[in-house]
Amino acid sequence: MLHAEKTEWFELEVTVNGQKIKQAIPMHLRLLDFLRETLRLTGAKEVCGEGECGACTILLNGKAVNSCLIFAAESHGGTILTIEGLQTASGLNDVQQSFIDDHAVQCGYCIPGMILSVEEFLKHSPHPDREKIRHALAGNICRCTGYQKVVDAVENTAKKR
Amino acid sequence: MWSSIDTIHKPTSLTEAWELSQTPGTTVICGGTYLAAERDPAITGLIPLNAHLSHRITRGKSTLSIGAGVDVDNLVSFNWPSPFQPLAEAARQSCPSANIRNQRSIGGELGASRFNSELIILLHALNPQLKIVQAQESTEYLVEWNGDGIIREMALEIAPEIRMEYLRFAPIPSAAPFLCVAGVTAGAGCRIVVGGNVNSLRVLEFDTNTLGVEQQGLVLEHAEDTLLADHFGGVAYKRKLLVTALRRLGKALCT
Repeated sequence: MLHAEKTEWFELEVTVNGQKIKQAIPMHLRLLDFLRETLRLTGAKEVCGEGECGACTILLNGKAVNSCLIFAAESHGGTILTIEGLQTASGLNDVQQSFIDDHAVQCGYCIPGMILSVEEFLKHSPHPDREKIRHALAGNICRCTGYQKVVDAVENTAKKR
Repeated sequence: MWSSIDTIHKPTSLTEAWELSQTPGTTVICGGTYLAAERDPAITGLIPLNAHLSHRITRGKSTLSIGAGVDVDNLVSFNWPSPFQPLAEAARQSCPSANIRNQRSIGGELGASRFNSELIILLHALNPQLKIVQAQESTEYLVEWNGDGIIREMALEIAPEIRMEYLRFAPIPSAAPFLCVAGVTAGAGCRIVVGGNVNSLRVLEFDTNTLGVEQQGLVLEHAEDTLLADHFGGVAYKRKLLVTALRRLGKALCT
């Protein structure tokens, strides 16, 4: 006798950018679709949909993950931070500001994912060298910048912190 | 969207998860990066394991116990005892994206068992014990495990005299290796594994802790038929590369 519940809809409870959300969602809904289509938080972008590019990066329970590879139901009970929740009361956060100051943004499509990956990385590596920064951003692909300015921005954020 | 999924089960234990997994069209998920990228339309039900797995690495007197839920990035950042430090680099190289490493669990990696994963190849050389959940729990060595059941834990024996090395050949550092050879010496024995773009991992064990000319020849003899031709080179090229790799590995393990 199996006791596991089998449901086609899932009662999701999750905290997104500090706000508690309770919502019935279909089982096959990816976290990326939940954020973009249900909550209209369009900062996380869909590009490859296979976890290769990192444009859909969000922080789930403090860890950078690709939201295109996670079912929304898997985030049940968790805490999500998207780029929309990173801004502080006084304005952009320091990573965001450094990306602007160091001209690290061109088309901007990959930038929300980059910034959230950097946000997590700097929490556990506060004084990284350039090689470590490059390793940390290996999962975030940019086709515009050539990464040089991005690495500059991360380095300068770390120096200022 | 993985539209064939209509059910996400909520098992109350690993044993129940295993029972559920015997139903056609269902699969266990623990991280899910491989499954979600493939979106196999034949799968209609998922059985998440995360809630029932340990996400910790525990160091005992003579073993390191790694819960199957430990993510691959934890393996990179873990403060390994000195002989085990190549594991951190192998974990990083096997998955260059930190985001994906955060999502992949060691249990899922072992389950997927990619032949071109530096981590999997090195782990086969170490041959840890796995705690496997089926109708009953059992303990099996990785090399002997047939892939059935759910991995609950992996235990690595800490031996002070253990040595391990691996060599990888890839066009760029972030690419998967088309040839990877790992070796571990411990006590009076040695285990060599050949992986990469191959049709199966080849594991050879010797009753000596050196990888000399005789052992290198035996590895070559038993592993050459597993090498596959690809756009990086034919089988003859891979064979020559394997000869070089074994020579270098022999030196690295003996110095």
